[in-house]
Amino acid sequence: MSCRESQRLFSRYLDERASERERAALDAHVAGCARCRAELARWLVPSRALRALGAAPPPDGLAENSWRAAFAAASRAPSFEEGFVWAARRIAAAGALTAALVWIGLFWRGPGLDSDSGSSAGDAALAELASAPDVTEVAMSLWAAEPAAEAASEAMPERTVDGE
Amino acid sequence: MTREALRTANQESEDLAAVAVRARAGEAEGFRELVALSLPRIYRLARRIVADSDEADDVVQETYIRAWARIGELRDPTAAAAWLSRIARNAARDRLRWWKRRPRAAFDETSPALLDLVAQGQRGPLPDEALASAQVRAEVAAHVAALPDKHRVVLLLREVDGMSYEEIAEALGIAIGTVESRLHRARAALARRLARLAREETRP
Repeated sequence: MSCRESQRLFSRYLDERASERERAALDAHVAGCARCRAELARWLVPSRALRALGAAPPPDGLAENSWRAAFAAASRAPSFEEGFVWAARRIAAAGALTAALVWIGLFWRGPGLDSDSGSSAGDAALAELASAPDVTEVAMSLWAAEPAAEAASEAMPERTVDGE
Repeated sequence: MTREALRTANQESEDLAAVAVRARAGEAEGFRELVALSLPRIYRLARRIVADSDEADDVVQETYIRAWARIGELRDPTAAAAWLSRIARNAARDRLRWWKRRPRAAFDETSPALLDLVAQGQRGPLPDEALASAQVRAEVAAHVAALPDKHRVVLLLREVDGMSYEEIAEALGIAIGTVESRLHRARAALARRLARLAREETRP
């Protein structure tokens, strides 16, 4: 066995994964080779020192803290159904607001456009404006609808946790 | 792995699979038992990856938060250990991305106690008391901290935690041959560092 071959076996030798034949050949080589004996000592010492450290067990209470944290996080996170309701509500609100703005843009004539003429068309436009809902009212009515939807989603059952 | 160790590992795996089935059905008590059974291996893995016990606690908690949130994604309960290990690795890496921005402790480039032990090791058996001394622990810890992460983690799981090649492969999601090659490279790197320090010490 050459020095290179013996050093290729060092790691498996330390882990007792070398075969009987490999182990015997390595022992024989190291016994007669000072260079490989010194090299093996440099592999062996850190390995033995690390094994002497010993594994630290998980700290007390880590298991309980972990499952408590998991259950708490799950109770905070929205379920799929809740997420779906939330998204649908916002899409509906955005659609209604867009429709209201389009309607206002198409039919609303601002004051002054026809006022100079004093025509009956101008009066009709003003009358229409007076009867049209204000944009603020449209927005307020949409937001006012939200608490009812939230109350409905809160009434939905959440994932329950025994003992929580 | 000895026959007894293999039997214990198989029993642990079966127990874990049984509680994983209950947890997957949404049973809180099943999840509590899953945490209790898997905690030692998840803690070891987290601790070795982040190399800090406080950070490891946070990684463990994050692992189980993610696991409970995605318990429905666990398709094969017999692979619960590998599934949890994968979540733990990702949680640890997320933590490291933030943590690596912090400065690391300066490395002391002297190792008199280890070099003494190397000299003794060439002559005969190594004394246990010397191996367990505070000075040797500090010196070897400093050398290990300087290794690349993927080599350091495998080395510590093997040497300190006493995990088998098979357990390390499962925990890290790598092949057994990769475990073997990383261990070889980690040990070779430590030996090279000690050889260099020995040369520097003998230089006039």
